[in-house]
Amino acid sequence: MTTTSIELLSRLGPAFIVGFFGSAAYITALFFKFIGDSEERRRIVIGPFLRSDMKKAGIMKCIWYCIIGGFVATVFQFDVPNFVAVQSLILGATWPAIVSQFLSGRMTSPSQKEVDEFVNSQPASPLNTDEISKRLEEIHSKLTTTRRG
Amino acid sequence: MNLKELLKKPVEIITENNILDDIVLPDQPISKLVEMIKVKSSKSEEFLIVCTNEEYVVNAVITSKEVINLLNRIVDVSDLKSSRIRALTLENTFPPKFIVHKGTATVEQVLSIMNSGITDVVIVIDEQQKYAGKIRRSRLKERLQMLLS
Repeated sequence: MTTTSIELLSRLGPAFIVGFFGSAAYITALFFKFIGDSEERRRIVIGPFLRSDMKKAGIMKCIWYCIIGGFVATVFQFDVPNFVAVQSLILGATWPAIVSQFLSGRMTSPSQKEVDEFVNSQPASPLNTDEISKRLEEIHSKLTTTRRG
Repeated sequence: MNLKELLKKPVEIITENNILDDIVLPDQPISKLVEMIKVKSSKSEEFLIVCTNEEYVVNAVITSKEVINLLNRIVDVSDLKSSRIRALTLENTFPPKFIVHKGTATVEQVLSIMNSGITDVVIVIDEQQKYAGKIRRSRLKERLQMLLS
């Protein structure tokens, strides 16, 4: 096996495993009722994971879901030079949303309504300025101490 | 300009080109990076730090969302005063991401990335992988409103 293949496997293998467990974490959260704000909603979300009698979890369905989660995480890991565990975990847990969004994004142009929604949208990630200030102060005091030393 | 025309326009029409404001080099002191974070985080919620080599080829990208992780890494550096940015091995923790290519990307592609909600900043690189500019969510909103009016 060449060095490149080993290097590739060392990234893709862990990505698959973490993606698999990300999916498993989602299913676990679902069965422990951490997801869904009402019983009705939970019943709809959990439906695909149940056996045909709708009483118990279908193990094979869960494994199938987890394998696809691992596969999606692996695909996203391909272009990234280093293994990014958090990315794989999130992809594993959220792959249905990512895949549907990716497909809709590629196959259709945004409508005027979607553009209007974007224009009125909020930032994806509000900045935690308090935390940043705290860290900056820490670094500043460390720099000052180093200078004195 | 109507929406269909706008979506097919090259990404240059919405790119901010003040690249030197975002760039740090591996041989610069860490204190320079800290100063940059301090200034940027006080000015905007959507900022970007790009670590490049002397030819501006992108090695690492840190978005405002990741800045706390970066500060945590800086706090852990033992000799802050004399250490260089290279010591942080940013390329391992913050590999280049949210990238579009200057020659081929369109407004539609950027809108699609922004609409996925994973970032507030997209980076633009040229065919030699050199940093060519950025697109911020707030700025894109302004530009879209202006171009579509």
